[in-house]
Amino acid sequence: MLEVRDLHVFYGNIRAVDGASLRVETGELVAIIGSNGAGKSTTLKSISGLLRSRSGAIVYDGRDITDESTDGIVALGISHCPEGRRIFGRLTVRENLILGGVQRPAAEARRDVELVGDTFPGLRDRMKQTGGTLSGGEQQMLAIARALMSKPRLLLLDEPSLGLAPLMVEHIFEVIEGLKRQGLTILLVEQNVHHALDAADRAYVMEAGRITVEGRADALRHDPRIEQSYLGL
Amino acid sequence: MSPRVAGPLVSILGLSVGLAVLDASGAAFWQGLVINLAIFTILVVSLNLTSGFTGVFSLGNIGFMALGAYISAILTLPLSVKSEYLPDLPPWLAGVHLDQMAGPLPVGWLAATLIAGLLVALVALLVGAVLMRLSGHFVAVATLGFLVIVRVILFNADGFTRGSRTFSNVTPYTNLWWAWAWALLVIYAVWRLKRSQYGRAMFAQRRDRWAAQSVGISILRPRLLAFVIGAFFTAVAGSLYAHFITSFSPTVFYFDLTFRVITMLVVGGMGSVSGSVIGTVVVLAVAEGLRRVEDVTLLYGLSGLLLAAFFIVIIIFRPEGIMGQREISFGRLAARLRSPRGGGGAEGAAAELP
Amino acid sequence: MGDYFIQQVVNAVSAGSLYALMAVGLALIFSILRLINFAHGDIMMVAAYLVTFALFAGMPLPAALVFMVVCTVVIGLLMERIAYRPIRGAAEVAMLLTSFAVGQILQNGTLLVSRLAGQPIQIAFPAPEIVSGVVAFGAITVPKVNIVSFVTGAVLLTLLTVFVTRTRLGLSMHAAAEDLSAARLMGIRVNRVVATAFAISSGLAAVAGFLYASQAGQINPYLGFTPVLKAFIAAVIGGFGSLSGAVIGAYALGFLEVIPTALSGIADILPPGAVPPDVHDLLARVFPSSLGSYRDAFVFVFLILMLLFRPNGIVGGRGREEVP
Repeated sequence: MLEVRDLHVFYGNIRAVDGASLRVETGELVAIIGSNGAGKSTTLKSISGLLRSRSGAIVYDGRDITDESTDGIVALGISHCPEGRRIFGRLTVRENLILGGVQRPAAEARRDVELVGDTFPGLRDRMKQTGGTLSGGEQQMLAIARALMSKPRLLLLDEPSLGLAPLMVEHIFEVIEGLKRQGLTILLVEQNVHHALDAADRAYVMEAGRITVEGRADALRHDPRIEQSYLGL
Repeated sequence: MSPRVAGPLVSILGLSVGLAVLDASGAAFWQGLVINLAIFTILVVSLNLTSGFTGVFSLGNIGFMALGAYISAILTLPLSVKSEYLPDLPPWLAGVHLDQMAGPLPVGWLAATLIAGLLVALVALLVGAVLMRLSGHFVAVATLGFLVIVRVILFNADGFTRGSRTFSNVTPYTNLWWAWAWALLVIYAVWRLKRSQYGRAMFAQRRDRWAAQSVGISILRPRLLAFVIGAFFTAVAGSLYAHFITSFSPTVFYFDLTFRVITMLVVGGMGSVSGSVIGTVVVLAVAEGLRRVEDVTLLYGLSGLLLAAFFIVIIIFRPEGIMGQREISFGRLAARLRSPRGGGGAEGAAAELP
Repeated sequence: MGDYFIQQVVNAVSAGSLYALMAVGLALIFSILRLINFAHGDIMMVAAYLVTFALFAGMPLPAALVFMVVCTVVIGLLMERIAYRPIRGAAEVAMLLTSFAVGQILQNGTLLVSRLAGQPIQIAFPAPEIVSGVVAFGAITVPKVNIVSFVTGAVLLTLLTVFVTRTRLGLSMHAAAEDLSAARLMGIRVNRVVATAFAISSGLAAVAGFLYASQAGQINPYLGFTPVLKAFIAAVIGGFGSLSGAVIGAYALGFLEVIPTALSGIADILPPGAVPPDVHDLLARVFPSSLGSYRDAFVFVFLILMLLFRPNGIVGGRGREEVP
């Protein structure tokens, strides 16, 4: 469904992504793991159009979206749930959700806002609360729910477990796996290797802007290279 | 002699010859233009110091010019004129008349200029201590507020300034030599400052406030220094202006002039002293040319409009101006002159400003 | 004595309404783009000229007003497209300076057109019936223009509030103001949101232009400079970026402004015997009749104090140590 070919992304003169290539097949959950500053988030931002790559190609359903605008990319069915959640703290939960569906017809979107409570029961009672008053875990739920409002076919999830307590992280990954079961294609960026590899079908390891390892998740789980880098063994 | 020393010397020599010729020619219009050029150069270079080096935009500099103009003019008015023209001056001021000459040297005027400069620098110290803590557009607007406040005060302190009425009878001390002597002094001083540790501190905190602070470079001190010194020189420009145009009122020292100076600064390049000189020449030339067109076609407002459009074009397409933060290097110029690129020859020297 | 104070209050409210219309426009654009649009005052000026020329041409008032608003909005949109969009994301000061340049273009352009139309620099405004003359409320007379200013301001601001809180486009503007990147990820078309902000802002400025001309009685190409500064001050007082804050700040400013005017010459206004003679003398010395003309300086000193001590406005508290 999605293919990234030889992507090079720069921040000014600093190379953040150095010739990365990856692919995501329909229905898969693909994880990108790696330490801080490896270029994982930058890759996602290039896919969703927040950043312009200097060279390389991003192809979605056979269509080149490398230079597409963010709103065009959302219209095509890709939704990016950003790092740090970035919910609108001054707006209510309901308003956040409405904004998630801003590109869809108003009536449909409003209906879906009511249905959000089914997948995310924690949000159902908090519709009128402002985003800034939610806990970290609830904010993450809201961010994901909001990203789903545009009815995407591909969800880009950036570090959903960041800053959350272990119990919350479990919960989040339950939700993520539930979404996968419903048929959503997901590209997940995570520092939490354990959970990421549990949930994913395939994974890529990114280091200093390059893809260094790729393979099926269960194989990678026991890969000595991973164990070395992340578990310090 | 190294090109670094020879270059400026040759330029100054050339300038002196040019001024002498102009002086002797008696062409009042061109003399006026060249004096204007000097005054604007001082204004632009000073603003560069205050804002271009530090990145802290002050829109109130013309307020300092106004104060410099009025203070120096009040001081130099001869006694006889003073009592008639400014009858309401307080006694301690009414007796002062800095119009003494020592032979050909107008020492009274020089003293008045220095006094005005120092007083204005003091004002700048007080104002700057308060305002230089702000950043970005907030300091821009706060300093704009200062400009408005100065104007209101000048309009209201009729006893000193004659309020909204024209202040005239100022002795025309300013001539080509004095104007350019001061201009060269200012250029030199600011250029030296740029290369000193103070200058480096100014640029450092411009680039990254927090990084500069974390290595112990104070934020307030370089900004305040730049602000105060810039104010001093701007006040000098005010004195030069007052004694050139010999009659003025508070309306001159307001937004149009401010914007004109800013345009010159941006065109030349914020952070480059040589850029300021170049920017001043370019914009003044364009402005004069456009003013001729206005006079001929009676389309008043055209020059202002086109200059503003020019400004926007520069900001969009070349925001760093002509020179950016670089300076003309005579060393490199000389090297080019000595070994021109193949086929180029003389065209190398003028085009290849490093 | 009572009359005098009522008059001051009326003046304050009237000026406040004008500032509110301007300040909200400024705050709207600033909240999304971080741009202080100094050309805002000149937009208002252009609107005043447009309606003046329309009235001179014999258009009935409603048509002239529509003409004024439509043309002003178009100019505002053009201004955004040509001058501001290319530098979006540039340094704040660059954007501020550009807004000055745009203002200069509008001022000089108006000067040119006005002269070509054979008009003097200062033109007397042909005030329509609705804003001329006074209305009597018992013993008090209030100029009609003040009432119109207040009512218009209230109505427009209410409409704006409804728009911003109830519609998706309005909500998008909120979102864009809070977090532009996240807003883009929702699929919000930033260009459209920005254009809407400029359109609304210009429309409000246009109405403010009409009210200003009605209040001042004459127009000139430079009339926009001081109002935009005042609008800026109002927005800062209310906590820059917040629309409701801008409105509060605007009315606060209206009242703040009348203080020097009200106090000036207060010694003369007080009925004889109301205060002991030495207090009377003190008042005369501290608040001389000329104090009123220091009004603008007074307002700016207040602005500087606010920027230093309460950069987040009256409501906002001390905020961070430096305003970015």
